[in-house]
Amino acid sequence: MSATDLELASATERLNELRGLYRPRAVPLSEEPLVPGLRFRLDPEAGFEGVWHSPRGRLVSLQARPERPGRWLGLHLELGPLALENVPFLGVVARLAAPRPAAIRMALRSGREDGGFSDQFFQRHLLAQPGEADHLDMISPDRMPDIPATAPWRELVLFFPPTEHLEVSLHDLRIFAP
Amino acid sequence: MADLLDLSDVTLLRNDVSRGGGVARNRGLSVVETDYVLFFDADDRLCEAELDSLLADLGESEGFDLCLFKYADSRVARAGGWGQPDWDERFWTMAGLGSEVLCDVPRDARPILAKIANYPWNKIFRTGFLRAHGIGCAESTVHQDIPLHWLSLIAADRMLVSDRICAFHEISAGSNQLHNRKGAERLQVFDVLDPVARTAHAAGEEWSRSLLAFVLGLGDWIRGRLDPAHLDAFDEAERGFLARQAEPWLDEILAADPDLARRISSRAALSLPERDTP
Repeated sequence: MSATDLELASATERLNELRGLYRPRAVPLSEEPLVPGLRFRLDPEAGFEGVWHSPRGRLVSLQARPERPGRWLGLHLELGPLALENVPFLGVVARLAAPRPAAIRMALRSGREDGGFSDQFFQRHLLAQPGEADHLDMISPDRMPDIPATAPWRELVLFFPPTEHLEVSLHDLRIFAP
Repeated sequence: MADLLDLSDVTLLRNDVSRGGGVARNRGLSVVETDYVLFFDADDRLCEAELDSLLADLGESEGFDLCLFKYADSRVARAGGWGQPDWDERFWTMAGLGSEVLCDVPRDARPILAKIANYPWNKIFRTGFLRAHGIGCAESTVHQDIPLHWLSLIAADRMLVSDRICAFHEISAGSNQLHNRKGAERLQVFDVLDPVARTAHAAGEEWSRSLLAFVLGLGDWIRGRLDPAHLDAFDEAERGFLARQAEPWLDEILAADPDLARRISSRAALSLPERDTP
């Protein structure tokens, strides 16, 4: 198994841990990890209030409301120092639903040695809507010059709409490099 | 195959002659010994993983009379999706429901939600609730599930919904499924609807209007598949139903929902009461 495969397997383990967590009661929204390696990141100036819970067999359901329009509300999945040399495709599948339509953007975040990071957004938005819907998207790291082939750390980030009341349920999420 | 299945808990009831799904379900209900019951058809499929999760969730909830869950429809699946058709999904949305794994349905949301397709297999019922209220299926050839659906939603003290998709509904064009029946038996629908309409009216104006709106939609659906030879008779039967169940309250309907009143008036050739416009 390659180093890339190992990091993706670790990410899958984190998601499986959340899927098996079953927290039916609401947990206040914060930046505390849901499970190791998976957390929300909240724009501190937005004053987000909300809750999350993890239904049986699903990942996470989120309700969030900003006091004032925020700049970001992200769900961050750690991918470790995911090596992307010679990785032609990095794909993500997601299953999600929301009582009111919500467009979610997804990015691969690559840390830099100087402490900063860069985001490579996937092309398509994830559309959460009342009926559960599946989403599939991919990027081609070896053809994207803005994605460093190596990085000290990476994350997959789901950016939720940060400006108004949000309810969304992420039933499933998987990341793969075939 | 038989040795793969444990049928020790199965009670098989077989009628000497086929008398339709309503008779079969009522007969089954009469011998159920469990606290909760799910009616299911042979041509649909259970989505076992989601149903197992729902049952586990329900096992942790306080008692309930009825839990409605979502289903996947083969027409949606063939178009590349998974879930309910838009015409049902929109009622969940209008009722303010749709993506909760399990929640109570407020009473004012039920008349909205009742307008979904009246299937028997997307609900888990408390057996004692059905028996206490004398709720079952009509024993007609088609549309047997209308009383089970409406009367249970009206009578339930506690109704839950889940967005879990626990059943897959297969529609096969050209098959002998009830869905594809085109004959005069479709006219029996108004015999089924009359007692339901009386109960809905007694339950309140919201229920009555909801049922009438459902009937208009159902009428359109039936016309779309009815053998043309029966269309005139169907129109006449529908006019009779609306004259019985809507005309006496058309003034109230007009005040609360002018569009519905106009649709009823147009469909049944009824005169709308004169009203002062504000």
